[in-house]
Amino acid sequence: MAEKVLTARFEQKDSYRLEGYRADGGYKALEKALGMKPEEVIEEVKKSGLRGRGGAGFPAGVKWSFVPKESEKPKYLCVNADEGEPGTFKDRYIMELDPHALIEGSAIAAYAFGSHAAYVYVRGEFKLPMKRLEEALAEARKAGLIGKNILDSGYDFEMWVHPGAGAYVCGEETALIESNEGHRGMPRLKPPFPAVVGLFGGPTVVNNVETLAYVPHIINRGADWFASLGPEKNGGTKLFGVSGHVKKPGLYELPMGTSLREIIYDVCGGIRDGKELKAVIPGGSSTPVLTPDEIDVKMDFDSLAKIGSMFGSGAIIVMDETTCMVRAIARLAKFYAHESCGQCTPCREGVPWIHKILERIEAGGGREGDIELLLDICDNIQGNTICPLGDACAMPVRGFIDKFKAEFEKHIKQGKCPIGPIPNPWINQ
Amino acid sequence: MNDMSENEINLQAATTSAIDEIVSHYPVAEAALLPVLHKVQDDIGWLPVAAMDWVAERLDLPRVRVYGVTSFYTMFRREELGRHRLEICTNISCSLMGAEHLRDHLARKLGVRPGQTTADGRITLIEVECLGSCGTAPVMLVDDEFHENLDPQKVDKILADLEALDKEAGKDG
Amino acid sequence: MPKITIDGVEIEAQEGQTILQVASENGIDIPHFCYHPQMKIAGNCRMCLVEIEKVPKLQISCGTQVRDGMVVNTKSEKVVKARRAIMEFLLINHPLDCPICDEAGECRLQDYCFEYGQAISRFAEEKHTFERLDVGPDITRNMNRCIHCTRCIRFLRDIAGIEEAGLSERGGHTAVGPYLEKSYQSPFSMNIVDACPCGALTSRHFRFKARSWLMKKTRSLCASCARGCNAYLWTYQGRVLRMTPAENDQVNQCWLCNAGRLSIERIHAEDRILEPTRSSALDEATGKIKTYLDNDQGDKIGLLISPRLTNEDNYLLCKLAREVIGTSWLAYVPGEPDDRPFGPMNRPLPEWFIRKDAAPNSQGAADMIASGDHTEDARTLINAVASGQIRVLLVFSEDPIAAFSDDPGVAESLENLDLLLVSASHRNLTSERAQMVLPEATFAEKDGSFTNEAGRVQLLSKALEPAGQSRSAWQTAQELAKLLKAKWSYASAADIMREIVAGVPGYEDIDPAALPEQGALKKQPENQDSEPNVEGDPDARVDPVDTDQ
Repeated sequence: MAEKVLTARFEQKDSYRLEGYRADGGYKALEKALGMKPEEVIEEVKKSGLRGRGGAGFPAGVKWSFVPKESEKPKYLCVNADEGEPGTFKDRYIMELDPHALIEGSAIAAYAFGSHAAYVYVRGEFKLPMKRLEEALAEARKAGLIGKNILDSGYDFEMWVHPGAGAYVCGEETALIESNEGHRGMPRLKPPFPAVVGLFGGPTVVNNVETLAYVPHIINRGADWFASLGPEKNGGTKLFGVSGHVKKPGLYELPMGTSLREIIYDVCGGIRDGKELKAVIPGGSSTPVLTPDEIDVKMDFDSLAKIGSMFGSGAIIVMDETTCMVRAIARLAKFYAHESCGQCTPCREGVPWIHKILERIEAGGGREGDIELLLDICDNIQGNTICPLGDACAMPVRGFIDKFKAEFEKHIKQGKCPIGPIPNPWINQ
Repeated sequence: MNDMSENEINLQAATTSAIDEIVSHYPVAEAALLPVLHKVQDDIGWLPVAAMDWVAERLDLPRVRVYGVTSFYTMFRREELGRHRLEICTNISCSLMGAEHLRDHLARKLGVRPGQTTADGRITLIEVECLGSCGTAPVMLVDDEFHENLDPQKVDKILADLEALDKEAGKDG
Repeated sequence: MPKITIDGVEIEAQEGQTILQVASENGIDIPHFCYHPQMKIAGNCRMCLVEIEKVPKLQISCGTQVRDGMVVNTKSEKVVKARRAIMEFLLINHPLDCPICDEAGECRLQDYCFEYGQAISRFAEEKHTFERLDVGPDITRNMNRCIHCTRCIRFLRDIAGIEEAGLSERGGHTAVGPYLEKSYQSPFSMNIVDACPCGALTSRHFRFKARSWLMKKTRSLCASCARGCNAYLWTYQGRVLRMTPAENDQVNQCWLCNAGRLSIERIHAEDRILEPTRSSALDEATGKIKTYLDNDQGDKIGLLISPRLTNEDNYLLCKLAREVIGTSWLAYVPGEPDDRPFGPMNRPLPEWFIRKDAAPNSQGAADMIASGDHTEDARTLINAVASGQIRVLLVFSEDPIAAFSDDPGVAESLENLDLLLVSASHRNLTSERAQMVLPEATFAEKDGSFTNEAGRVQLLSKALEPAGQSRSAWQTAQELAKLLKAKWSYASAADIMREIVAGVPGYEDIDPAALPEQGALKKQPENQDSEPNVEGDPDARVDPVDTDQ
């Protein structure tokens, strides 16, 4: 049975309180880290191979090492708790059920690259996670675990919650920083990169909640241990969020590299209602969709990249035979059009255009040439935008068309959706 | 257009002191804009122009900047909505689990289209994007509280509970 | 000094420059919308994408700093495809307004559409639309046409110093405008009409008056204050239709204030004086003056020159007074003194950009007066009228009744003169009481020069023929002189300028044949404390690599 790292304490009563956290060995890692040199902490996390769990999969230790040692302006840690990628629902549980893990991980990270302040950017709808986090911060502050001279180490570290207000784009690191500064969440031009010029102009690291939650475990049990939990260069466990047409949707902590088939059929009980699998989105809505013959792939960053998809946030969305693929991608395009910040031309104009065409095809108004037009628009968006949101729309559109072209053609040829209306799960078939 | 100087807003003392505390978390007051707008909205229920102008003055910001922020983020309400807000997600995972049917069910029961408020001003039905609770889809926020694993019965119960709540509050139904 | 290659040509660049800057300095045109050399970098239009060797994605040339050895391609297939893509994206929601849009003919969108647009649109969905809105008395916003380049926002916030334009809503619904759709307050707001690369922001005053290509463009000066901003006057069918900025780093960079732009409306105003009181007016006036001269009473004649007249006008008027009439009753009413600095022009544009002195040539008038005998000041001259010492007064482009409105006796004493002759472009309180009124040309209708508050001599260029029978004051002076038997033969303002250079202290180094577009500073007199150069500092621009974050 795979080891539980992040979710080990989730089932406990009052798991979110400091008392229980400490009883289970909490904040020992912070104590240990404060006794190490900051560079040593970075080295350890680098060695563990911990890759960002927010979607990009960038090695966390390497990101920390980009921060210049000396800086005139204060350095910041921004914790990305925006969790807006459709299909993703892991960070909220960490904050609701084990907030101290996040606090401890953040403190260690901040110490490693020399920051004395962290903001947790939590999406505005997460009222309960924010409440639990605020209470945990208050407990930690009272116990001298954050604040001035934490654990009598001489190191200052303060941490606050900063709420978002309903904008998926703020999950992008520079948009998050902009929003943290009180602006519209519009991404910044890079370079300069946040590690050099970020929040309030100072060097800034933006890390996902789950990424930081692993840090205390890495410090306590060592880089090698963490790396051994998954395939090479893809170490550790992962909180996989499975949703859609499986019997047992939910959050599951599994080793990196578990096969998608195992997750769908063994862990989640297979497809509900005796239906057949039709498609799977492996890592959140922005990742290219997979067909049933591709689900033996190992769920890790490199394996998915190899087959032309992405690991993303590990948000697995399972679709059975009752799903209309055109309708599904049209709904996603609507999402991206709604969430586009509007700053740059290709995304502001191109994404709603894609949405309009897809809606038209789904409604039965598809025209010859629509598919080629969609692909050309995707081509014109990709690589030409300020931030990846434009790509996040273009890639799944391209993926759905690639893998399900016949369905699109049927829509156009028949002048209607061949699948029919969305099935109603509460009407007895 | 109302003359803004005439529209006073009255914030509770708890709100203004919470705002003072929040502002102290940042090196510059303007960075506190989002949490401050939340606090003001939680107090008044929405953000009329007078409220936005108050915030602009409190944080020493141009009004056009505050307005640019409130109009960017979906959680900031620049119109007064119903006493209760039902925000139902219809993004992909919830859609796969029948969210559109629940939305239509609600729309029929309430006699409104998504985006509208019932005639008696009690309930506003809103269609929203992914709420980050896909494993327990379909999901809806009822006055900012998560209600998960929904089905028509649960939804009906929510409506009934709201009705009871309002009756008990003694206000006109 | 980094060496880079653009389209196969090796170029030596400066440290810190962007690809776009290097390209534009070397005659390589990279299309762009949101980039403006005076503004922070926004990088949002994506039109300036170029290909850089060894870099997988296209990069914006406006925001990418050059590095030694960089190899850039601005014409590759990939680059052209991207431009066509951006062009297409910009036009899918843009209305086909060219036939009714004032921007046509000077529109960046239109220009690049020629090169990179498609004749037939692939967009067959519903366009996103907005209502047209007047954002105040001066500017109209057609949000439908807006390409969200944010130049207007950056100008008002960073250059005019008022954050009053902002973005609202999100995504494809994003709008750009003033707070709650009210109006812009900045006295420099109309610069956003120039800055807007398409017809989203247009001037209400110029609306529908003429197509841009029908107008003639003349480089001249604004005459609304002592700064002497350089400007283009645009004329069509005998009317000045608009004024736009001309670039002069030393004076106004590339900006104009709203009041200056709108001052052109005075040129064609109802109260223009278009003809003399009588066709015989000048002859009669001459006759009266002759009587005084024959009786050796030239010193009973006074003359007022004006800070609103050119150096050439004032110089000849002074010469008329001193040499032909033989009087030293010669004065001018100066504009309001301004003890605020004149420069350097830093950011944001300071309040003192607009000078307190509403006349364009107080300095020049002072210089012409100082070059010979004159009255101590205008007040003294007016007192001499009241006391009867002066019996004939020639007033040029001045309104003593208004200028000395604190003294109610002025009007009566002027009326008691034996002869009051007023030469002016517009009716004023004094002209209404004068026996003789002569029509005068406005600043737009003459050649000549002004000397601004900082001592810079700059040229006016005639943009249209003087209205009615009006003419330059120097022409009236010459005719009067000739009638009084003087042997003058000035054919042009340039002729007079040559004499100014030869005879007026401070103007010796001005080259009348080749005054540069930027004008030239006159020499400060030796007995005065030499003032430091108080003008614009061309280096006081925002660092163009500063991003708009």
